Amino acid sequence: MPQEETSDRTWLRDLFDAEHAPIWRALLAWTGSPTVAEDAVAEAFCQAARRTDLRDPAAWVWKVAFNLAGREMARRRIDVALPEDADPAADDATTLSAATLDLLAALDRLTPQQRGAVVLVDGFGLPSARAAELLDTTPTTVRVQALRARRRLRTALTPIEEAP
Amino acid sequence: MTTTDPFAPLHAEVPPPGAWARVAAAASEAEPGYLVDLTGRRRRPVGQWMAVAAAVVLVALAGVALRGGSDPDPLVPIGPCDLGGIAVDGLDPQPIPVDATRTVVPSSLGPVGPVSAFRAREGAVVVELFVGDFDVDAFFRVTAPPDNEIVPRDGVGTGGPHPHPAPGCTTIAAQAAGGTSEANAEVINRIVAALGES
Repeated sequence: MPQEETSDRTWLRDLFDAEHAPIWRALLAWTGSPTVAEDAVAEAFCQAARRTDLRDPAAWVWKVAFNLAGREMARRRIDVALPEDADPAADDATTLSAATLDLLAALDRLTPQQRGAVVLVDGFGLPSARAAELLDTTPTTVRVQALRARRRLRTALTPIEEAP
Repeated sequence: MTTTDPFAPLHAEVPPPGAWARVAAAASEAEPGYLVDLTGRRRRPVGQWMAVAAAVVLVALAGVALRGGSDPDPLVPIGPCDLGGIAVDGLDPQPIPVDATRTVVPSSLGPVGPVSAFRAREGAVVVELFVGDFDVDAFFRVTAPPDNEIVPRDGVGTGGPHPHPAPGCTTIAAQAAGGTSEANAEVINRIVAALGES
């Protein structure tokens, strides 16, 4: 829906209500960090609040949020030397359910591209072309990475799901 | 293995509260007189430069319109800017593609610099032009952060406060004789040619 400039910012609130939670969940699964997800999605909406030229605000916010989260994760990888067995979500994931933490742990074993592909395609039902836009790659790459991720994720989650 | 959707727990998670308050505050603070960088932080008042910066933004928006409307990617490189004697107005106003992932963004010192720099996509090549009465060859050099001390991210460079919120960019510091449009354009064109050959 094209953005309409209104003084009461109704469009922004509507956009927030519709997209905030899904974007946060997608970023949480992609980055493994509730903090990064929260900051990126909030910042994306803050930037959207200052824009008046967005033809597709929802797509724009998704894209900006993924850009910001990706950069933050890259910065963390550079700035913070985590031990190999460190859980990136451990410091700020206490409010998440055990099942979600299991999922994040399984996703953490994937490469970022695999994780992004399987999260967006399988987790959120996005077409590969749309996922490719968010991940700055090609639809073919998304399909291949999602396939590989599916296999690895299935292996990682099988013992959990089949446990009595 | 069961057929349970492994992402079901994720969809049951609820984002932490408070995000809307932050967004609403940002919307109310989006007032004229400040430049806002990529991270959303408000930069110094631009005062008399506001009109110039607004003109540059309009050029960028016009470029977006010519490309078929607002792009989901907000990082639209912009070309010409002319401020304080540092002019690159001899350049093509459209982005200068080097390849699919690298885009040359001519920048400049002063308030216009951050405007163009913050529109640089990650991986872009940002050309920082420095004015001076020097020989182009002597001052043509190519460096990349973090070795480039001239334009540190969010730091203070030789030209004064100069936020550069585009991590992953390669910054090319170039200095053209006299800072004329022709000299700067020549430097930019040589950089583009060199990148294209690399």
